[in-house]
Parts: sequence; structure tokens; C-alpha cells
Amino acid sequence: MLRGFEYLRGDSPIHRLDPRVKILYSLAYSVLCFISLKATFLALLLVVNIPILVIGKVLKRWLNMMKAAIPFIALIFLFNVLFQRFSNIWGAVAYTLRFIIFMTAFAVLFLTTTPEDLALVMVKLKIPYEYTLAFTMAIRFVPTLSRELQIIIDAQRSRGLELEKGNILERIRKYMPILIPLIVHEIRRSYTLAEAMESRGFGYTKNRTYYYEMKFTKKDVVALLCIMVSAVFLGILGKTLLWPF
Amino acid sequence: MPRRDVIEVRDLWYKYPEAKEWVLKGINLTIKEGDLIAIMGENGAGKTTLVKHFNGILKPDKGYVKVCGLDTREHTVAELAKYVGLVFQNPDHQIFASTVLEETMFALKNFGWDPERAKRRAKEVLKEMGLLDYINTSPFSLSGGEKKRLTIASVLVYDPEILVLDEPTVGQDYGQKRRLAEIIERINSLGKTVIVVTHDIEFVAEYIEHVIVMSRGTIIAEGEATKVLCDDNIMKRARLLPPQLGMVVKNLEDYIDFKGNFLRLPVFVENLRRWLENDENVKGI
Repeated sequence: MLRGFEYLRGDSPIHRLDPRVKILYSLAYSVLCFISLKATFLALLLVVNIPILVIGKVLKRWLNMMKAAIPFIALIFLFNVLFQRFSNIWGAVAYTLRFIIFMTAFAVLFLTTTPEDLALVMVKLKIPYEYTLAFTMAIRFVPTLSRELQIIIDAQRSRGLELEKGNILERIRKYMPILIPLIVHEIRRSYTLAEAMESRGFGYTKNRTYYYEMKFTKKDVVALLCIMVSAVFLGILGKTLLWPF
Repeated sequence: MPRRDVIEVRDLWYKYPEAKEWVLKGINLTIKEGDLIAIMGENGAGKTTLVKHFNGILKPDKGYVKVCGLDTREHTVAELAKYVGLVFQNPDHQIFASTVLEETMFALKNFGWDPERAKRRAKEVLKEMGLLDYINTSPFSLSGGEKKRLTIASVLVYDPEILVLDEPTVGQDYGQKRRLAEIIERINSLGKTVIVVTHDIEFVAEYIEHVIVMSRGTIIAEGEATKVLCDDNIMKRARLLPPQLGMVVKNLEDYIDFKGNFLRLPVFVENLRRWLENDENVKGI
């Protein structure tokens, strides 16, 4: 269930772009989807994203992500329809699309950028290294955590725990035998990890140096210009009144 | 009276979801009631994956597994767990309750036992495991060996016919291992089937006579420990080191004809004594 957050290595022109360019891309699109509430314009925004996902070879993973988000998407749509008393179906569609575009814009960033690259950006933004490290480690431990979760579930099921039985309150209670060992185990692990890091001299030097230095290449500049031009163009387009609904 | 088959595995193939390679490739295996068996093999040979099929946590992709006559594909883990008690490798992956007694009673609660009866039964088992003094303490404060015994107690408590121990000796010192062996022998002597998954060769040599060796998802050997564990070819394929006594016996093979389960120290010594008592033999060297 945590698999979606796992970073899978890949290689494509999008993967090789400077992470800062990709962050700008995500920001640009998340701003763009808020400038208009016309469903047709938002649909256009979504369509524009698709070639990027294809070039980045992450279309399938994006689709999986969307599949996992279907309950949320359905909920947003349903609430909008209900609270606007069925008067504005297109408005409900627009709100739903806004959510999808927002997710997609950031999916492009997270699906094609290694956690290490994101950490480098954080360091460049003068965020203290400890916080940056906490961020990369959180991502690093997702697969470990999901494996461990599965073992614990298996162990408790072997002792007759039936997670799929009972009403919703009973089911929540049934998760206690799973959550407690998981939390205890992870806290213990974090202590061990901290000790192991300290024993290897973590925090000894104040000024860290980095093996990789981020540099803007020609490709990055071209990508940056494309993003800026297309964002301004789409922005103007979104503000015009051409859109029917 | 012929003993019945408690576990029947036929042409079992399995691979984890999203994985490309088969983890188990056509396993065939029959385990009889009252057997004491060790399943051995290197890390990643498929031992744990195989035993997870015994109580239905994993279901076969091809072939079938029958436990006490029940096809695992047609029954839930909870139903099968009543027959097969599976003790996981790391106690920290299951301990959650606030007291040792509650931890032991967990399975009984799941199976809907009456609380008073469950308590009596849990105390009985904890006494057997030498944990009666700890019933009101937190299981998190127990030592490694005690935690291990607690996890065994928490499974034995509902009296399964088959007990499966996954890597029970990992992280246990010599004394704890001996105690574990005593527990295993006692459970087995009560007529229960006990399956021990391990790569602790010395432990197996000393206490378990019947061995199954796995490598890369298949069973490469099955039989008496004295034969299987002393076969260089099998041991090499399984990336295991033969037991020390086995190596000694191999080097003395030309002089002494060892009989019985010579991997057990007392039997080995008895063989040696018998040989030394005969003056002719000593002169021969």
C-alpha cells in the first residue's frame, strides 16, 4: 500500500533535467490551474501534461497513482455536485480537474527526480542539512517500512487475526496489534541508525561539501524558456473569456 | 498404525506479485504426523516462502498445498492457523500487548475462547515455557531468549497440530538454543509435527534427524541428517558448511565405521569408544 511512494530509478530527458527546472514546472502548473474555473481550460492544461509524462516514461506510474486517488477524486466531485445542489455540474468537473492537475504537476517532479536531487535543492535553499537528511531518509525507508508492515500483518494473521471481519470500529481496533509493533520497531531502529551515523562521524564538519554539484546546462535553459513561454501563453489563454464552460 | 500425511505439497510454484522470477519452482513434499523436520538452505532459497504456504498466508500460483486434508486455496489464514502454528523469526514483529499474559492470549481471543478458559490455558503454556513469573510484566522488557519463548507460547497456546519455527536460533546464545531444543523435543514427543526452518547447521546436526535441503526454489535433498548433511555435493549446492562432527567422521571414515546418528555428540563418542576398545584397531593405524 505504500508502494506508490517508492522512488524507482529511471532515465529519460526529463529525469536528466535540473531538479530546479522541474520544481518551477510544478509550481507553474499549480498556479495555472487556479487562475480559471473553466472545465475546458483545465482539461487543456491536463492534456498538455501528458506528453511530458510520456517523454519521462512515467505515464503508467502516473496512471497507477491516479487509480489509487480515485476515491478522493470521486469524493471531490460528489461533494461539489451535492453542495452546489446539482446546479453547476461543470463547476464540479472543474474542481475535480483542478485536483488532478495539481497532483499531476507534482507527480512529474516526484516521479522523475531522485530524492538525493531534491535534497540538493533543499540544501541550495539553505534548509539545514539535518532537515534535508530527514526528508531523504523518510523516502529511503518507505520500501523498508512497507516490507516490515507486511511481515507484521502476516505474523498477526498467523495468530488468527482477521482484518477483514467486523464493523468499522472493530476493524480500527484490529489494527492496534499491527501498529504497535511497527511503531516500537521503527523507534528502536531510529536510535540504532542515529548511533551508527554518529559512530561514522555524522555532524563532525560544519560545512559539508557535495559529490555532485548542480549545474544549469543548455538543455535546462531551453526547458526553462519553454516552461516560461508556455506558462505565460496558457495564463493569458486562461484569462480570456473564450471558454464555453 | 500408519501415520497420516499432515502436509502435502504438490508441484508448488510461486512468485511474489510484480516479481519476475519464481521463488518456488515445483516443490513436492509430504510431511507426516509427528515428524520432526528441518528445512535448510541459504538465504533466499525459498524456505520462508515455502512455510508461509503452510498456513495460507501465501497461496500457490500453480499446484496445491493441503494441510490436514484442507486445501489452502479454499480456506482462510485464520482457519488454517488452528492447524498450523507459525512462529516468525523476529519476535519484535509480533509483540504488541501490555503484558505477557495478554500477548499469549491474543490468538485465543481471535479464536473466540471464553476469557477465563483462555487465561487458564495461557498460564499453563507460560509455565511450560518458564515464563510464569513474568505474566504481568511488559513483553517489551523481556530478554531475547524470553521473547522467543513468548512467541512460541503465543502459538502453542491454541494447541496446533503442526508447529513451524522460522529461524528460531537466530540471535540466541548457547543456553537459549539448548532450551529451545528441549522445547522442540518435548512438543514433538507429544506427537506434534514440528518443522524448523533454519540455516544453523550445528543446531540441526545436534537435535534434528530428518532434513530437507532447498536451493534456489527447489528441494535438492531430503533424508537423514547423517547422510544429507555429510554429502559434500549437496552442501556445496546449498552453500552450507557441513557440521563439524560430520567433517571429523569423514576424515576417520577409512578407519572407523560410524553407526547411528553420529552427528550427536554422545553417539559419536560411543562409536569412538567402541573402536578404541578394540586393540587390533589401534595397532592398525
